[in-house]
Amino acid sequence: MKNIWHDKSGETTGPDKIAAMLSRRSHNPIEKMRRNLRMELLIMIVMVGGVAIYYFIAFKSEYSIIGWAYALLLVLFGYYFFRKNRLLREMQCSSCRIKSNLELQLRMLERYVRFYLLSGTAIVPILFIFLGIVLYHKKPALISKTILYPSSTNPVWKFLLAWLILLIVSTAIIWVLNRGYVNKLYGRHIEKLKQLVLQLSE
Amino acid sequence: MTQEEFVREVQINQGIIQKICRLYCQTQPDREDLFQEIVVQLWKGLPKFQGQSKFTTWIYRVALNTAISDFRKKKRAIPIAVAEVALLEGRNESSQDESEEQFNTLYVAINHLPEIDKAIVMLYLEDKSYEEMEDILGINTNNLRVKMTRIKDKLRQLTKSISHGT
Repeated sequence: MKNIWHDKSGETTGPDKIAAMLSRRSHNPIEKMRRNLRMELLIMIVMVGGVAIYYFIAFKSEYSIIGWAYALLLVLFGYYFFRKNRLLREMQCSSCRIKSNLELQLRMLERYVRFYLLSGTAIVPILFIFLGIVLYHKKPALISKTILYPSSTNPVWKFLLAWLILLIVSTAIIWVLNRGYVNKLYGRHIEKLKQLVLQLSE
Repeated sequence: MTQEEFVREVQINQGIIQKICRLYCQTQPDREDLFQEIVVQLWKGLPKFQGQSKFTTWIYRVALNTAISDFRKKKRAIPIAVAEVALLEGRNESSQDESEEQFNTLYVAINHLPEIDKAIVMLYLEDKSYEEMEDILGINTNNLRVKMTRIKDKLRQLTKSISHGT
């Protein structure tokens, strides 16, 4: 077998072609995920930051509390992106031994998926609180006479209970949807990595 | 190491990368993609290479890590059976010599192995010692010996059945 293997000389790639490859982008899935994450962060900064600045300046700063709520949302998103980016950065070690690299990938991907699921679900109560602040201050006609807004005919406990029920139901639905989505996105990757680690350990 | 020196090193050692690409990819476009990805990963990882292991050992690690954990969708996923028919039919159409035939048969047989076994057999065929294989793969020497015995048996059966067209 060794003789057959060594007898055959392979194809060759010239130095110019190799040098040209160095300036190209990596197609590695993790690198792609990091690039997408940076783009998402940029979009969030521009959009949420823009709205926050608008509420700080417009309406003679009457609604600056909404501006602060948006700013807080941006900080939370900032943490979310920072954590995801760190997990992705630590996910691979190409120059490590194959076994430790695959084990690392599996461990970090499972952690990443857990964080994805948790943060994707936690966003619901955060958005509810955020929406509550906005609606309370803007008092839109659409809901000001419903159970979702406190008034003389709608006591606070009823209003709170209505929001709580809405929050629990929404969070549960989002959690189920998120779990399915995350499984669809990363389930096969995780299974493949588990298989590879098993092959190495057998 | 300057870019020029790096390119020279890659050129000298490109046989390693080409063989890995051939083992882990079925089609030429996929092989070219993987080759490029390995070169990019080597270049990016170069600052972290501290010379604790041999340069070739490091190339094997990066190249195999990239090839094994490359879960991208292949450009043109050809089932192994179709790919091997093309490979083996090619030998009849052209007047390739016997060694070419044996080489193709060996490749087809290795293609049937799981990803990790492919890496082990490749390092074995490249005349790497078990200690070096351990340094690249992270599997201890004793386990490697056992695995290698199993793989050799499997390959013998596979090459026999491929040669007999079964």
